[in-house]
Amino acid sequence: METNHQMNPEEKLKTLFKEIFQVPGEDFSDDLTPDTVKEWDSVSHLVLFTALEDEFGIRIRSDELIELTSVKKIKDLLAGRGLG
Amino acid sequence: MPPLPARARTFLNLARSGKYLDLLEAGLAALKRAGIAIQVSHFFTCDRADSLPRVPEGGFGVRLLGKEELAPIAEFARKDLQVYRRRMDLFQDECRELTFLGELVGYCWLSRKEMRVPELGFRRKLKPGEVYLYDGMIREDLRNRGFFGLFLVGLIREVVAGGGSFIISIDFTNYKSKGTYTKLGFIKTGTGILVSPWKIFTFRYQSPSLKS
Repeated sequence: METNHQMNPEEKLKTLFKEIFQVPGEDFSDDLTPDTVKEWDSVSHLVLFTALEDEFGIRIRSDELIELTSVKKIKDLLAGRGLG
Repeated sequence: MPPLPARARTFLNLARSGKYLDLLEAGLAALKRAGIAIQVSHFFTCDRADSLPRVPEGGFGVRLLGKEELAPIAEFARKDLQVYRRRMDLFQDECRELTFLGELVGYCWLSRKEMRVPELGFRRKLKPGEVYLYDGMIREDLRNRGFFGLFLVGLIREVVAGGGSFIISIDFTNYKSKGTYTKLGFIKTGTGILVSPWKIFTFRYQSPSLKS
């Protein structure tokens, strides 16, 4: 999984959601959660974890991972790492 | 017992073929209203660990439980403790718990002796190395957060490292569950079909090594 390095964090995240969860770009929003995205299951959550660490060059602790239950929360995590 | 109606035979053949699942699902509902129940389960197998996602470290614990440690699991699962104890006594099945920061978040049962699918009334002796996963659960408020995936990744690595393979049975209409296992490298290797009240049972199983 690879995004363009020129992309801003929002665009990278949108691309990851398209690749992992098949969410079309126009449907991408802060409100997306496992309840609203059909493909967002336990295994895809781990795939998302790997992609976030690799694409954004960050480390995510296990207690942080289990709280990443919406796009808004992922953006908050990235913002906390100076990637907002 | 009257002969199986032609309509039911058509759907039985559809189920055997594994095609047109949406049509089959609609047909089964119609047959159920007519008093004919056809239960279809798909069997999935995994004997490789190269499709597994990376998992986070720290905080998680997986432990094999002894018979005297089953009470909290039975309570968690709202199941009969005696049934759980009998699984260990009769089949030597294994119960594993998953904890996070010391708190119980899930469990699953593994059998190395026999594959049992109660919905189908089906039992099959397992070959050496085969492990059948059944009766697993993650706490409801913690689902879709990676717990079950992490649990499975650890179990698959353990079984595959020992040269074995993992088998599960899923109701054919449970598309979400089938998708979850497919992402971990499971492939469909069989179908079990039960037609009642005629008790016609058909079972097909193919070793994953025979698949392309």
